[in-house]
Amino acid sequence: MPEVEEADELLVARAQRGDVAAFGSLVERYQDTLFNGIHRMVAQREDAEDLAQEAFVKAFRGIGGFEGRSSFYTWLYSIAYHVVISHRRKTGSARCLNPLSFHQGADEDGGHGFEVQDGSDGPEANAQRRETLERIERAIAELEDDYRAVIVMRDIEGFDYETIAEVLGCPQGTVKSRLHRARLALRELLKDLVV
Amino acid sequence: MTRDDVRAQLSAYLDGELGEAERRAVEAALAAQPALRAELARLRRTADLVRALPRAAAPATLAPRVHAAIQEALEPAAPRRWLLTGWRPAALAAAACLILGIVTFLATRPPAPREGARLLEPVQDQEALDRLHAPAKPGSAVGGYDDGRLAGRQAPADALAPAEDLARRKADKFAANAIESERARARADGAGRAGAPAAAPTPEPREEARHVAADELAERALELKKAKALADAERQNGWGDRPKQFAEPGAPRPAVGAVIAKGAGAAPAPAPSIEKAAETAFAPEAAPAILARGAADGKHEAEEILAEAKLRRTERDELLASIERKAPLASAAKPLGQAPHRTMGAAGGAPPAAVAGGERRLELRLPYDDLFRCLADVQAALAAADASYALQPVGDGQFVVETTLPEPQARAVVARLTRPARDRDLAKEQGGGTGAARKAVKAEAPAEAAGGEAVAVRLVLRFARAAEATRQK
Repeated sequence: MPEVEEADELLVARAQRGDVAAFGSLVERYQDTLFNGIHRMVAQREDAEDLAQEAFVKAFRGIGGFEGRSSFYTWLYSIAYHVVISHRRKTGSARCLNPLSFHQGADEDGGHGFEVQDGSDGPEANAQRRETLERIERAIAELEDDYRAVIVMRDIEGFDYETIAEVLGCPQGTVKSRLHRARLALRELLKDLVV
Repeated sequence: MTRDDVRAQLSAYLDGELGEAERRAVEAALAAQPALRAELARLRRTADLVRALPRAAAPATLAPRVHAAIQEALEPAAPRRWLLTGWRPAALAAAACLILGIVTFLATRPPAPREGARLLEPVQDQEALDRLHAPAKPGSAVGGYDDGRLAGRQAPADALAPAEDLARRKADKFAANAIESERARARADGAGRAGAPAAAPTPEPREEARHVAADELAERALELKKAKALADAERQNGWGDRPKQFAEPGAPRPAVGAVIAKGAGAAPAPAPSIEKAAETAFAPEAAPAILARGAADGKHEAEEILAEAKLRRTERDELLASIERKAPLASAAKPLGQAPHRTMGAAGGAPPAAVAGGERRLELRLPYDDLFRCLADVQAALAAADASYALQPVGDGQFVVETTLPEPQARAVVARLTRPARDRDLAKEQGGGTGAARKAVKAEAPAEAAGGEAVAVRLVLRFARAAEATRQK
């Protein structure tokens, strides 16, 4: 049996009995993944942090209702998705993502964020790589909300179609067609990179 | 399948989400059409670009903010300031006085007298059991576990009528029989003395005898109810008293079973006062039969309880021994799930059949320090879930428990068995307070997606001594 699944279940079980420390372990385990997924759907890093916090708190409040039909992270992501949808309704759809916000963490918080530079290549190659990544991120941000959501869930979160359908509350056939159209739209935005 | 149909399936094909027939159709089309292959390659490249994006790490402040928000959510709400202004304080004070007055009146009102009855506190925890403890004959232990044979019996509250009602009915019947006997004797005496009116029996001694009989019968009925309640508590709380070879590690703690063993016993012999009452107030020849009947009822029930306890104890000891024995060679070991294995547990009915969601398998390795307590916990957890289960000793301190439950019950069983002992004790002391804070917060999780029919979980729990469990990892 996979160790991760067993450990998650034990932590969830303790959290369901009010063990805040156990829930804290779950936060530590999934905060990066969840934050990354949320930030792909909202423009500002600060908004993504606020929404991630809200999602975790909602998850803690509702953990008594978690019945284990899905993995804990899928359930958590579903909560986060709805938090993002609510945020969009209040603030308007945020289609412009500031790609630079993905790289701010290393400067502001210290030790977080990611490293895009590869020491084996020269500075030009690193700059080109960074530019390519920014273009991809910008293209994702320009997608329609529904297209962006399925792209993030499939190609970033790695959910299968069944899980995506659960999160979105739609049939798997809808997921299939929507994801295909999303990739076509993204391919159009990145056509010079997709050869 | 048209070319457009195939194109629409390319993403799903790329993701491995097509059924067998669809996949073959797409592969056939791809083999035949280079343009489709080129389109598939572009889709793959698009997906790869997205997957290659680096992941943003969460800010270092996120986890502390979450923790602070949760702590704030768990704190009780501060009193609202608006309640303390204007006319509201006076109204609140008046309402508080009124409520206090009502509560005081209800608390100090004398209770209605109950003839021949005594309150029996429900057996819920160790302290309650201690209060019920009464000296009994040595060796009259009631221990063991419920092997399911008790499941067909009625619960103690149903099997035995409330003590006071039973006592009152028996007392009334006793008195009625005795009075009728006295009247018959009086009529016989009156017939012998012609014309002389039969002296009616004076009511006072009859009433007194009736009260005495009622009290004694009530006391006997209560003793029986105690025995049943203690046996039921033992069934719920565990495992009877510990055999010597399974001494509890660490500081000894009085086992629930030990208290039960001291408290339960055979029904007491008829009290002398009953005999005296029967001899002085009623026909002597009626008393022995009545007394014998009462004694026989109580004695029979007590013997039944003791016999079952003895059988449970024997089976329990055999199970412990089989778990502790040296394991046979692997080739000689009986496969799990096949006979012989011991089936235990409450009559929870047949495991639920897998429904549309299918059956999942959940397997856990759980270490234990104390086999005796571990088995008691397993029995209690599965009894709480009303589950039928199979337990197979493996030897060398290992055993496997298998059951099939709906997922929520399976999770509850896992949660209960994986909860540290200190948390269980803490929860017991606090009356289950560790969950009170969580319960105070409303659940706000969105409804889970539709299509969630109940899924049966095949729960396989493998227990081993803590040291060996670590070696097995």
